[in-house]
Amino acid sequence: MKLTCFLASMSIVFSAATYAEDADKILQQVRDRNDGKDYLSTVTLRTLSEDSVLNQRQFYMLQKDIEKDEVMVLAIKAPADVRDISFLMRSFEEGTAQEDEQWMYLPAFRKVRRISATDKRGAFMGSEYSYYDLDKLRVTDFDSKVIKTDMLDGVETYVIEREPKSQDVINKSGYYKLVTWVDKQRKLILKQQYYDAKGILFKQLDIDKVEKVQDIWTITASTMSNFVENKKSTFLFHETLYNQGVDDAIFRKSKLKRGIKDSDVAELTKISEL
Amino acid sequence: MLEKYLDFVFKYPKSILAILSLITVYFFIASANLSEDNNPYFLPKDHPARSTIFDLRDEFTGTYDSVMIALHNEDTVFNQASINAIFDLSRAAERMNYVDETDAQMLQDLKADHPENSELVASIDEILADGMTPSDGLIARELLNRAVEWQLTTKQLRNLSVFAERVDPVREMAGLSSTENVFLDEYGTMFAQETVNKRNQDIEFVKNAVIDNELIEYGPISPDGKVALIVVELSILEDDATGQVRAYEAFKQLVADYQIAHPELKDDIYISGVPVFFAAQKQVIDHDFATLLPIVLLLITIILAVFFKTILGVIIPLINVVMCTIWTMGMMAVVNAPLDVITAILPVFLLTICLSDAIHVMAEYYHQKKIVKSRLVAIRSAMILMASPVVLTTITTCLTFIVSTSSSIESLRNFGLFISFGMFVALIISLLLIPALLALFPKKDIFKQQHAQSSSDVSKKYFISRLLVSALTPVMANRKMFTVIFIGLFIGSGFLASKVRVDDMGSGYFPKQSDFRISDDFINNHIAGTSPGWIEVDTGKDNGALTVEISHFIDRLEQHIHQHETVNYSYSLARYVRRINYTLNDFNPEYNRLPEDVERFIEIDEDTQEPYEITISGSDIIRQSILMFENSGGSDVTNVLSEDFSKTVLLYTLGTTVANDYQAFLDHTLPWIEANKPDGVTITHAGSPIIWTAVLDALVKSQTVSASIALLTVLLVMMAWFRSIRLGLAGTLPLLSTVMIYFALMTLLNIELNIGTAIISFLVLGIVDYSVHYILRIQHEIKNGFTINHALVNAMRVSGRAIIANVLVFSIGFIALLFSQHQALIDLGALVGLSLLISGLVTLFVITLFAPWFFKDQLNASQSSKTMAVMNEART
Repeated sequence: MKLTCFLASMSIVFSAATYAEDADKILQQVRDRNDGKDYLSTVTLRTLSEDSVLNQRQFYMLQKDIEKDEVMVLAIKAPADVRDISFLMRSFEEGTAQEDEQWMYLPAFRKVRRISATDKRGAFMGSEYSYYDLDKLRVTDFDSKVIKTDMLDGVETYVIEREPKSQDVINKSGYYKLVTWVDKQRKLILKQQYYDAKGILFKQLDIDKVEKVQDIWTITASTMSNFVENKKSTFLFHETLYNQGVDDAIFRKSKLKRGIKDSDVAELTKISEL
Repeated sequence: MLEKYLDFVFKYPKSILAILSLITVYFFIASANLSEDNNPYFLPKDHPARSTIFDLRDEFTGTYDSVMIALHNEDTVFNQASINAIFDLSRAAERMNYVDETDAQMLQDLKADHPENSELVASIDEILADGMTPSDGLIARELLNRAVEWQLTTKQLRNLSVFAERVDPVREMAGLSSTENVFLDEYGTMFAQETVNKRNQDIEFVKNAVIDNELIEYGPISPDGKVALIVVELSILEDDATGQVRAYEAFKQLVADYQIAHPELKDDIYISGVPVFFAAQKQVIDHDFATLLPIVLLLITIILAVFFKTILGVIIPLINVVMCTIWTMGMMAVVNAPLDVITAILPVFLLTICLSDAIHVMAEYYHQKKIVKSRLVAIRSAMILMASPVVLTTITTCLTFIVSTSSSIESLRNFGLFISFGMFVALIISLLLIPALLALFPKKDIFKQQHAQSSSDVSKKYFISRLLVSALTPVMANRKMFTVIFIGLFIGSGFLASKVRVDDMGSGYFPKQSDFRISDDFINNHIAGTSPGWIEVDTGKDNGALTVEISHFIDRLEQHIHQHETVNYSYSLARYVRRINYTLNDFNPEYNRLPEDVERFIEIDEDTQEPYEITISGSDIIRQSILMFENSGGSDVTNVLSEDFSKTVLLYTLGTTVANDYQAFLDHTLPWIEANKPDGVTITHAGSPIIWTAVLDALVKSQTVSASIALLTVLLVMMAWFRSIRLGLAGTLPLLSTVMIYFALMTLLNIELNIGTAIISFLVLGIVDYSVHYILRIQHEIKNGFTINHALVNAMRVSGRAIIANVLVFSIGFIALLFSQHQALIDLGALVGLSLLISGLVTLFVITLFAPWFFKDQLNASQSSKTMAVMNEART
C-alpha cells in the first residue's frame, strides 16, 4: 500500500465493505485500502491567511510500499529559495516497536539530516498540515469509538471519536482528540477535526474533491483550516498516477541529496515538466 | 437673595432633608454598578505607547503579559521531582481558566435579555452545557464578532469580551516543557520540540539538551541550573481586575496543591509577572481601602469632636461628607466612569477635603451662636457670612482641579473631574443640609440664653487663636527680617524642587516581606526579568526579515541591549538562526554564528572524488534554517517572525520594575538603533519600558503645564473676585510657595514624583480655602476701621482658628493612609497631610508678612472713609 494515507487513504475499496460497527475495524479498513503499488503526483501546496496567499510550494510526491513499510519522497521544485529541498519518510508497520524515520536534505547545509520522528507536529513546508497529517492512519495509537452516523454532503459516514492512548502519541501528533468522518462506502476519511490540550477545536481537514484515477478513488484536493490562527492550507494533486513501477532506489537515503529530477519524473510518467 | 434662600430652607427643612436623602439613596443604589478599570498604565488604549503592543499581537505570538512560576532548588533543578513538576505544572496551567458562577450568571442574563435570538441562546447553551472550559473561548469570540450585528449593549459587549479571555486565557507558554528547543540526540537526530515533553523525562537527556543552549539559558533555566521558569502568557484584559486577581489566586492554589500532592518536590516556588503585579496591587489597594476608610472616618470624627465638642458639630459635617462621597461614587457609576488605581482613593480624599466647607460654616455658626445665643439667628448670620467665601473657594478649587488635571493621563483627569464634582455637591449639601438640620432643633437654644458677647471677646477665648496670635506677632513686628527669610526659603525651595526625582518604583511599593515582592525580586535577580519589552523590525517586504543584513542587525542589537545591566534575557530571530546553523553543522564551533552574505564550502565530487568550491547565499541558509525548524516540529518561530516573514521582533525582559531603569535602558538603546538600523526598515517599540516612560513623560508635562495653568486660573479668579491684583497675588503666592516647599521636601526626603504624589501638587494648588477665608476676614476687619496689624490679629483669632481646624482634619484624616500596605499610599498619606499642613501655615505666614502691601488699597480706602467721616462730622 502506498499513498500513505495522506489524510487517510485516497483510494477506494474495491470489494464491498463490511459495515463494521467497531471503530477500530472501520479504521483498519481505511488503513488497509488498496491504493496501488506505488503512486506519483505533482502537488501544489498553498497557504492562505485571511484569503491572501502567504506562500505556495510545488513538489513531486512519490510513495511506495516496500514490503510492509511505506516510504515517501517529497522533492521541492519551487519557489527558488527552497528548491531541491527533499524529504524521505519511512513508516513501519503499525504495532512494531520500530520508530518511523524522517530525513531531510537542505541544499544550504549540504547534508541529509535525520529529524526526530517521535514528534511529527512540525508544519510541513510551513503549511497548516503537519507531518503527522501526512502520515498513514494510525489505528492502535488511539482509543476510538463510533459516536454516530452522519450525512456529509450526501455521503453516509461514520463519525468516530479518537483519543490518544499515551503522552507519547500526544507528543508525536500534537492532538488531544480527533473526530473523524469516514465514508461508509469508499472507506475514505472525508473530514477530520483536531482538538488541542485545552479541548479547543483548532484545526479541521475537509476533503474538497475525490476523483477516480486509474479506477482508484483518489483525493485530489483538500483543505486544512486552522481556526485559531485563521489560516488555511490547500493541497492540489495534479497528474496523479498509480502503479508506474517506481524504483525502490529512489527511496534510499543516499539518493536524497540528488533529489528527484524533472527528467526522472518524465521518465516515470511521461508527463511534462512543472 | 441669601435671606430668601435662608427663609426657604428654614420653612421647608424636612422636605429639603427628604430630597437630599432620596438623592443619596439613588446614588447609593447606582454606585453598586460602579465599574472597575484596573488598567495600571494610566494611558488610554489608543495612546501610541500602549497601542503598539496590540498591533504586535496581530503579527506575533509571545506578546502577551505573562505569569511566571519559578522553581528554585538549592542544588539543581535537574532532578526527577523538579522536572516532573515543570511538566505537570505546565500542563495544568495550560488548561486553566478563570471563570466562575458569576460569569455563568452573566451569560444567563444575556440569554434572558435576548430570548428571540436563537443563535445567541444556542451558543450560550453550548457554553454552559458541559461547564465553562477553554474550548468555549472560540464560541465566545464568535459571539463577540456578532455583537454589533445583534445590537448588544456596550455593557454586554464588555462582559462578553471579559468572559472570552477569562474562559480561554492562555495564549502561549514557555519553559522546559513548553519552549521548543533545537538539539541533536546522540545519533545525530535533530529535535525541535519541548525538552521535557513527558513525565519522568530522562534527566541526562534534559541536561544535554539545555546546557550551553542560547535558546534556553536565562529563559526557561538559569545558567547555574538552580532555577527553572514556567511562563504562562495570559490574554486576560488589562482592565479586568477581577480576572487578574482570580488568575493570581488560581496559580497560587495550583502550586500549593501540587506541593501538597508531591512532597518529594523540595523546591521553593515563586509566582510573579505583569498580571500578578496588577493583581497584587489590586488586592493590596482593595484591602487597604476596606480597612483604611473606617480609620479615616474615625479620625475625622475625633478631630471634629475635639474641635467642636458637640454632637451636631460631629454629625453634621460627617453626614455632609458621607453624602457627597456617595453622590460622587454614584455619579461615576451613572456616567460609566470606572474606579481605577487613582480614582479608588477618591473616597479618602472626599471624606477629608469636602469637610472644609462644613467646618468653616459650623465654626462660624458656633462663633455666632456664642455671640447671639440663638441657633436660628446664629446659623442665619453664619450662612450670610460664609456663603460667599465657601462658594468662591469651592468654585476656585473645582476649576483648579479640572484645569490642573487636564493632562494626557486619563486617571488624573477623572480624578480631577470627580473630586471637583464631590466638592461641588459637598458645597450644595452643606448650604442646604446644615441650616435645614439646625432649623429642626431651634428650641434647645432657650436653655442656653446668656449675655451676648462681642465677636472679638469670643474669639479671644480660643486656645488656637491665642497660639496663632503669639506665633505671628513676631512676623508683624519684624517684617523686613522675615521677608529676607521668606525669599531665602522660596529660592532654596525652588532650587530643590527643580531636583525632584520623577519615577515609579513598580514592585518596590510593596512591603519587602510580601509574597509578591519576594517573588518578583527573586525572578528579577535570578532568571529572566518580569518586565517585558519588544522591538519590532519591519522591512516592508515579504521574506524581508530572512536576510543576512536583518539577522545581523538583530544580533548586534541584541548584544547591545545586553550591555545594559537591567537586561536579563532576550530571544530573537538571530538566536534561532545561529542555534539551527550550529546544530545542523553538528555543533562545529566554527558555525556557532550567523551566516555571512555568501558562504563558501569545499565539496568532494562523488564521481571524480575531486574537491570543488561551492557558494551558498547566506539568506538561503537563513530561510532553510527556519524551514528546517518548522519542519522539525517547531512552531515558536511565530514568536519572532510575522507570517509573511516581512517583520521580526526581538523580545527582552528587564530585571526591574523601576521606571527610571526603563528610561536608562531606552537611553542606552534608542540612539544605537537610530545610528545602526538598516535603510528602509521601520522600528517599533512596545512593552513595559515604553509604557512607563510614556506615563512619566505625560506626568512631567502635566505637572509643568497644568500647574502653571492652574496657578494662573487661581490668580485670575481671585483677582476677579476681590477686584484687586494685589489680593489676587495674596491668594496665589501662598499656593506657589507651598508647591515649591512640597517639591523641595520630596527632594530632601528622596520621595519620587509619581502619579500618586503628583495628585498632591494639584491638591495644594486647588485648596484656596485658607487664603480666601483669611483675606476676607482681614478685609472685613479693615472695613471695620482696624489698622492692618489689628485686622490681622482679629482675622487670626476667627479665621485662623478655622484654618487650623481644617489643616488638622486634612492632615490627620490622611494619616490613616500611613497604615497602608502599599508604599505609594503611605507616601501619599504622609505627603498630602504634610503639604496641606504646610499650605495652611504658609498661607497664614505669607499673607501676614506681606499684608501691608496686599491690603494697601483697602487700607487707603478705609483711611479715606475715616477721613471723610471725620470731615463730615466736622461739617455737621
